[in-house]
Amino acid sequence: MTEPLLSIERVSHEFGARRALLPGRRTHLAVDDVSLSVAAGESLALVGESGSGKTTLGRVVAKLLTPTGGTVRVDGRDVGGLSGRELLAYRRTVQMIFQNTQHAFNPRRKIRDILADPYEIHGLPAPGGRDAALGELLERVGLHASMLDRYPHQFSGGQRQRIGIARALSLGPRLIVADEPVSALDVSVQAQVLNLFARLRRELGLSLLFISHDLRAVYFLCERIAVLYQGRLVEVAPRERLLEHPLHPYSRRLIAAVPGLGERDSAEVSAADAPAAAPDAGESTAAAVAGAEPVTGVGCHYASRCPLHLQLGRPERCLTERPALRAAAGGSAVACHFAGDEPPAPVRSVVSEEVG
Amino acid sequence: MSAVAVAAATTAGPRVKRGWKIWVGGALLGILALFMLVGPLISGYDPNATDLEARFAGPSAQHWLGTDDLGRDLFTRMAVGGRMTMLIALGAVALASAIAIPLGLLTGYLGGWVDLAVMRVVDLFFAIPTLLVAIGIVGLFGPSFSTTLLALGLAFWPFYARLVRSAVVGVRDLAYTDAARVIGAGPWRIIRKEIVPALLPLLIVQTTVLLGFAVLDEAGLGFLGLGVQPPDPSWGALLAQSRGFVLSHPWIGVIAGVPILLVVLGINIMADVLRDRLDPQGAST
Ligand SMILES: Nc1ncnc2c1ncn2[C@@H]1O[C@H](COP(=O)(O)OP(=O)(O)OP(=O)(O)O)[C@@H](O)[C@H]1O
Ligand SMILES: [Mg+2]
Repeated sequence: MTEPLLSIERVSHEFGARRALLPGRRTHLAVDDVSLSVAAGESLALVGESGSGKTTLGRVVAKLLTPTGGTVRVDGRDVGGLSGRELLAYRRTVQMIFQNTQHAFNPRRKIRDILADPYEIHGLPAPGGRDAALGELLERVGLHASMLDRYPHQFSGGQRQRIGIARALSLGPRLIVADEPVSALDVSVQAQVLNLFARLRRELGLSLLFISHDLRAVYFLCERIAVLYQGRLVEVAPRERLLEHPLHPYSRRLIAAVPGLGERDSAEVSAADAPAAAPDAGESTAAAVAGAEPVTGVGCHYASRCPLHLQLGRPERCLTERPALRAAAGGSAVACHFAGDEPPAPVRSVVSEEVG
Repeated sequence: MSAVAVAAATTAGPRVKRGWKIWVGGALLGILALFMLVGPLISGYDPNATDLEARFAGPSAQHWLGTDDLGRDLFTRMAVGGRMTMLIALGAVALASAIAIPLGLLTGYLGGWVDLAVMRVVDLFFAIPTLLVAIGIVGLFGPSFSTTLLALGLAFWPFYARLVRSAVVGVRDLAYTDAARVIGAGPWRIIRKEIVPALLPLLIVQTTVLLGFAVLDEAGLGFLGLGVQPPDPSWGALLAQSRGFVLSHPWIGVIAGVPILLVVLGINIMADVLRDRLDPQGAST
């Protein structure tokens, strides 16, 4: 197997860790021992409820945050200690697109100046002149060169997101981290921007780390899907596999929440915790309660809300042993002691198989 | 602040209501500047020339604002003293800005232990009233024009540095500074291109406000006899001098005090105008 473009190896990030010695500081483990990889040209989705650490992991990859543990490699090379020229080279390889298009651009600068930044910083060549290059860049994302002299607020959200994409593309990156790039946009505009992503991937062979709440967008754009729950990777699987055959109880719940995507499992899940329509609301209040006491490294962090755990009669193992990510059929990997490959209707048999 | 709101406020802002302010403030400062600059030329007196025949002369055709205990022309002394006071105030604000702006930018942007250390020093200064800090410094070097300037500058920077720092912190974590970092901009470029432009309105307004305080505090130091020393005039020194005859010749005190009042008023009105124009959200106060 060839080397992945990006590999995230046992990365953790704890907010407040550096100030932990000061009194009154609380730390928060936002990303907890996550390992993932993205092949060249591949698109990997990062999904999970609010607060699950998606943005944090994305920012670590974009080197906006230094992880408190683990390594990030690009082309097999540890990118932890990069500085100076090497860091600039990294910036040209990995780019990021932000969720909030209103704040992603300095309101006092014209689009021309904003887009000229990468040229100035990296000394990029512009054979036909800077203006021509910037105009071309805008046209590549479906905008017009005549818009260069406008200010960011003179664009719609969708147009601004295109500018964000243009800014990232100007450096010719091989991987783009896109943090919920369409979630702040109108539904009709979302489709256009997603199509733009798809086209650019096709044309440029870009890799994508696509962070999203929206499983439909993810299904449209990504080959593989990774599910995070409270900072831990609970499952990663090829797109169809994950949506049609989610293994981890949390993945099932997440997918069941999307009408039209997870009918297959919805009956089973809603039996465990009806109504399944708004899992985020339920989860976040539960998470707030859980947040009051630090999540210990012991056991499975989903156990207290896990329908499978309940069904199995609260096995001790869930509470004492942290489930490692293990390979399962169909290219899935799941971090659960008991989740099996079969549909869980005859759950008992799965258990006896696993435990015995 | 949102760009849309800025645009709306600059086009549809209450220009009419603001109009009187700029005229009143401008007129006040203009007249006072004229008084300081050309006053001594048209009065024809030397500010330090004594005339014992004309001691404590009231306002008259010869001496427009009267004379003091040594018969020196008060109009001339106030004008020349005003120059001195304004020089001290401008110098002190320049000194405070030169220390506070870079320090505030640096600590605000870098955070961490640099921030912590500098802000503890600032807190230390905060525990002591500005004038007391200035008095301490004057005590160290002895009263003079340059000591007053130094004392006020050193007394002002902590307040200003803290202000700049917190403004930087507000801008530092905005998504667009992250976007700049991702594009490869270094700290220096981010400060220059993304942070300083956002801070400029605040800096301009605050420098103006500080100027008003500097004039007041020069007068305060002078009044305590710790400012510019006689026979050189400054508004503070003249105020101190007038204290001696406040019962016998109270108009001298009035003449020394009113211009200070007017300058500070003018400066504050102008600071208000600038705030309205540059920072319509009022976010910087
Ligand atoms: N700067 C920070 N300081 C402290 N805690 C933080 C910080 N940023 C994020 N967190 C915490 O880390 C956890 C993960 O946050 P993160 O933003 O990565 O979640 P997310 O999955 O992107 O959520 P969302 O879907 O809402 O964007 C959250 O609990 C959040 O409160
Ligand atoms: Mg996020």
